[in-house]
Amino acid sequence: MKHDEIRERLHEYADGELDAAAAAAVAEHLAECSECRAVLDAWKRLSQNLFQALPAPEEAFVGRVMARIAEEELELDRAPSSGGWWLVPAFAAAAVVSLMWWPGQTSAAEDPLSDETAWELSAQPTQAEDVLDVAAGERP
Amino acid sequence: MQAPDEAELIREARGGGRSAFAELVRRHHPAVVGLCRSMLGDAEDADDAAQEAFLKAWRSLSGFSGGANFGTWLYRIASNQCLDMLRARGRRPTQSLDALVEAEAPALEKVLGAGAPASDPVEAADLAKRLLATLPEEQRLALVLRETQGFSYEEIAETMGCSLDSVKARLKRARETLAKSLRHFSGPPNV
Repeated sequence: MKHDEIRERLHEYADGELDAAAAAAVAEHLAECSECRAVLDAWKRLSQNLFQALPAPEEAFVGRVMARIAEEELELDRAPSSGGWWLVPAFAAAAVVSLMWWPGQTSAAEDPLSDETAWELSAQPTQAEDVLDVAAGERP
Repeated sequence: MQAPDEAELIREARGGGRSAFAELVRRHHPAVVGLCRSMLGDAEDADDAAQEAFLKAWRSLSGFSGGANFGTWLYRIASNQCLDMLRARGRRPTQSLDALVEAEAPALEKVLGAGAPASDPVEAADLAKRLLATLPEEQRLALVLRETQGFSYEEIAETMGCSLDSVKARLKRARETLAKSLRHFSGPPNV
């Protein structure tokens, strides 16, 4: 590989994403090219000093999540006796209509999509799914 | 006693086992919250996003395929949650990268210049969040998943629902942009 080609793949090399032959070619080039070594060294320094410094979250987070789950389940348990049962078909119908408007939308969490358009679609709000879940009183 | 493996925890949680799910949250929350903080910047928003992501995961567990990677599935939910929140916020005027670099030159020199390892980690984390905020969302997410979560390109592609080529392109653009703007502090120009 030529210098320019190697330069394009320096980060893939550093990230361990090249196959053995390509990695060997880059390693060989790096031994001779101070410019490419400097590029990688600069990024390594930048990455170590900036991105590793992001703070770790605290343990109390787990408690907060579980408290919200307990709270939500309690609300769902109470829902049928609160007189709001008639909302279930209404929400379900609304969700079906919104999904019809959005034929490409499936569960963003469960069905990895494979291209740029899919990324844009899958990144859209998942309220329709939420409505369906709530409407159906679905729990794992 | 040996800690239960993840597949066992997922099985129990799918059957409604809250303690099993709590253990899954315990194992994954540092990475999920870290991802949300890197994406959203604000710690409180990030905490909310991460909580929502875990709640969505709990609600959707019955549909989770046991063969899939739970971590990747979870990070995808969290990534989408962050993007939803960023869109809901609207396009807040963010400082351009060049303006940020100019305004924060002394702090960047302290964090990235010679003797940088001794710099204040809180200051470095704040700068990292602000620098990341200047990148387009998809580039930011790819870079965060790689640099702070250590994801492989394949895992990033799975999490983001895009091709490997897109991952490579997003990482390359994000790194080029940052390296070019920070060249005075971190080393040679033009990655």
